Amino acid sequence: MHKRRLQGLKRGITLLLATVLVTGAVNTTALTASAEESAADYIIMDEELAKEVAAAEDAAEAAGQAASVAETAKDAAEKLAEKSEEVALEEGAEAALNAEIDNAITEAEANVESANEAIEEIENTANTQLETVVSEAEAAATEKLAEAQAAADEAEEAANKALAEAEAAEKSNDQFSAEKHVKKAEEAAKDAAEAADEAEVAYNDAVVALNDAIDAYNKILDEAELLMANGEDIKAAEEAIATAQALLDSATAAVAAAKAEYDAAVANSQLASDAAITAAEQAGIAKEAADNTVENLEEVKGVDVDALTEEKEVKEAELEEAEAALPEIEAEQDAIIADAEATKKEAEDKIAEYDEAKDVIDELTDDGLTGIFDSDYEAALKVVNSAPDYIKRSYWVPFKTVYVYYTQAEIAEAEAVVAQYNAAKDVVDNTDKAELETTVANAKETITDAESVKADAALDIINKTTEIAEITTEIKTVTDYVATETEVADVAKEDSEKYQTLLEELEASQDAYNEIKEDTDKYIAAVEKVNAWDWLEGLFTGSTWEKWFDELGLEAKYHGWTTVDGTYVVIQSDKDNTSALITIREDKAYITSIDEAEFAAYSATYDSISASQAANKAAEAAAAEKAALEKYNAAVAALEAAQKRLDAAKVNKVNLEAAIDALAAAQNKVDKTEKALEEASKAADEAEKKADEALAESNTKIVRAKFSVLNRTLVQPDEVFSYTSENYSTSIWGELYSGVLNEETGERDASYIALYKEGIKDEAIIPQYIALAPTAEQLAEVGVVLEDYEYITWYVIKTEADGYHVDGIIKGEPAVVEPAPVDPTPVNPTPVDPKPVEPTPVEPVVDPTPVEPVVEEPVEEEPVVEEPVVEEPVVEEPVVEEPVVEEPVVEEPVVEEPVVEEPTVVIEDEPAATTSTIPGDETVVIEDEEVARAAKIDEENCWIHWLILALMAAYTTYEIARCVVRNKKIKALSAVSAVKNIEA
Amino acid sequence: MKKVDLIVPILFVVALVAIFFFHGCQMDMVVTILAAVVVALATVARVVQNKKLKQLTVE
Repeated sequence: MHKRRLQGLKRGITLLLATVLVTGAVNTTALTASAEESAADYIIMDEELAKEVAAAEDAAEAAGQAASVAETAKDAAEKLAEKSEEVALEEGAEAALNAEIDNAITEAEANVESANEAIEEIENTANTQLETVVSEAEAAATEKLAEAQAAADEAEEAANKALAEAEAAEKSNDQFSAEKHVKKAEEAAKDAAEAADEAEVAYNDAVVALNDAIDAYNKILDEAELLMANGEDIKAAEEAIATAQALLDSATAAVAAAKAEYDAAVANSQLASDAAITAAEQAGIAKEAADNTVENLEEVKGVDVDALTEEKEVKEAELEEAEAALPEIEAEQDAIIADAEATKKEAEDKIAEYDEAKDVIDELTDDGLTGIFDSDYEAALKVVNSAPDYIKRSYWVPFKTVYVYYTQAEIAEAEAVVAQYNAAKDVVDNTDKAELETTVANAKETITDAESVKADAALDIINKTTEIAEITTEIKTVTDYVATETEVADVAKEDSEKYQTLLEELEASQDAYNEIKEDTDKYIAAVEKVNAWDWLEGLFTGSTWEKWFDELGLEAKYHGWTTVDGTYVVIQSDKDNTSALITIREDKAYITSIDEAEFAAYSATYDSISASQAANKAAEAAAAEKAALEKYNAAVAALEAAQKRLDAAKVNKVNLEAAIDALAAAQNKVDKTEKALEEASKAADEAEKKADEALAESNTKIVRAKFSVLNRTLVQPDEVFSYTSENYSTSIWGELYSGVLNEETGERDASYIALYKEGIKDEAIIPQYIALAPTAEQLAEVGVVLEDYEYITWYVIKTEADGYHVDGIIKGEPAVVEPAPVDPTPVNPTPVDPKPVEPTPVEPVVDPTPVEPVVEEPVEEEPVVEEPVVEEPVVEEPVVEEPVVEEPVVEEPVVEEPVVEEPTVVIEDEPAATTSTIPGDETVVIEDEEVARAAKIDEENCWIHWLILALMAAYTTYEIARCVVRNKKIKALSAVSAVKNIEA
Repeated sequence: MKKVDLIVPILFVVALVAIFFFHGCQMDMVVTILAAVVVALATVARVVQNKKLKQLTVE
């Protein structure tokens, strides 16, 4: 029981101490961010923190840059003001222009005045000299212009004529008449060209006259300029102007340069300020922290920071005092407790002794439950009281009393019991228990009081600590807000440095994290399992080796890291709360750094400070800018006024305007002459062009010709010669070919025209030139009625005054027809015609060449082959058939007839001769070599196919044989199996 | 024997491929189809018969 109480006391003390420790720890962590708490709560690699860090960096950097640029702008503004002051001594006043520039301009003005007087004299002399030259040039130009215009008119007229003729040529239906018009057009074109030449001559003359005048003018001008160049006054004036202008330019350039620098600086400043503001806004952490501080301020509005600070100081003093007094109080109270404990113990011992004696008495006097027996004490007292005889009992026997005595042992025991009783009785009688119990109670109270005093002292310390912490928090909240929103300039320098340190350490941690993350990814990739093939392939491509080296390198790099439950921990730095804890779990790396809230508070504060500083710098710069601009404007105004003065003070040029105007007039006339020349040339060119076009056109016209037949009985002339018109039949219009046919274009060139001009007398080739000859009906209409055996041979093509003529002569003799008793179809009674046959013998001129093959073929072949001849308009069929058998000689002229009569035969022959070249003829030409090779391939194919078939046959046979064998085996085994089954 | 049964069709196919190749890589469609049918039928028959034989041998 006693022990139990002690244990309870110990537990209470332990609990109390633990409470004190925990409270102290909590209070301590509330004051500053604790590493343990950070490590426990912020073991995360949060991207947000990274972003916040980056944003804070950007904001700080942008603000710094903005401040720097604003400073630059201010400097530029001051420089601009300085430069402006150098130009204009007083604002806006022309008189205040820099004295040096002003003097230079004044001197230049004076020199220019005297120089201009000298120039006027030179000018008058030159004008007098130029007068004659210019008037002559003008007269010459006028004359030549008139000539050129006349020539141009002539050219125009000739050109019109050429155009008219060309049009007439185009409208002509006939090549011959078109050609006549073309000739006239060509003559007109020639006239136009001659007129154009005349115009050119006039123009050239005008140009020569004008050039002479210009040369004279230049010479006089050069002389005048020479005089001017040598003039002292003019030289002095120009030098003075140059000096003044140089001074002015220099000043203007200096101001302009300063202004440009200023503009650039101002623009940069504006940009930087905007960037700083944007960065500060984008630093979300700053904004958020600022918002928080505003909220906090709302809560603590009305709090007197000074009072709190004072109270805090008092509390801190009290705390210090209490902490100092605590050991003394504890020692004093411990002494009291010790005394009380001793007193209490003594009293408790006596009480215990009394209780024990009481127990002994009770035990000795206990006479049992029934109460009928003596207690131990009573029994012992009887023995003791029986002394000295110590007769235990006596009984009577007859005649005698018998005594029984106590044994010595019984006597001794009884005496001991009585003594024990008496001793206990003495203790009980001599002890005051109530008093003792009061003493114990008092001692306990004393101890409790002492403990209470000690606890109060400790509690007092705790309370004071808590109060100080609360006050500190309140003060800090307000201070933060004040620092953020109002008195930004009052933030302590060391705080700023601390913030920078935090930022730098966080950056370092960030870099470390990035490195570890990259290494981790690399390691995971390096140790990734690959299949055997890829591994082997990697030996050649290098990837296997690369991974291996990566793995080994990274293991070496991170060797020695402590490992806790699979977590690798790296202490990046170990400085109070800013230590960076980087951990790798499984395949991810985590980072813990400074307390985020702490960072946020600093960030909010110092981003604002930086922005404010930048703004202040910008404001200073703006103030400087305003002053500088005013001065700049004054300087610019002064410079402009000075420049106007200097521009007004110009040395005059020699004024030869009158001569120049006269020359310009002459030039104008020459230009007009040139224009007339151009018109004449244009007209001549156009006329020539039209004539050429008409010529080309005429060659495409139909070549019409008059076809006439020589009257019977007249002999065909040997040369290109004509009888008088009475000797011919009335002319019939026909057509000739203009030239050789171009098969690609389908057009004909005009190459035959020249032949027609010369005349063609070879009747054998004449048919190829005839495009359209008069038909038999047309001939009949003009009185040329041909007998069935007659035909026209066109023997000449010639050119007469009225156009082309083609003359023909009637040829053909009646065939000597013998009676044909067998032939039942004497269709043509022609031979019987009583008409006198043309006495003119058949001309041997008739080309027999084409006849020969025709004659040969029917002789060798059957007469049926001659059937195509029936198609011919001349019904000579029976005549042809007959002579084939009997008189082949007679046949000749007859068979010749279609050849001569049909000019188209010649044309048809041409394509026949070039059949192989007709486009679209898809005849494939196979060379001999290729034919041989194809045959060879066919042969090989055949051989290879046989080989394949043989192979397939062999394989198929083998497979069939194997199937049969296996089948037999299956059957055999099936039989065995069946037997086994039966047996079973 | 099983190995021979496997080698022979392979040789046959290789021979056909070689012939086609030296013939100018011009596959004769009819012959190719025919060869494929023959090889397929022979393979099916061989597999079925071998299976049966194995079954009976075990029994």
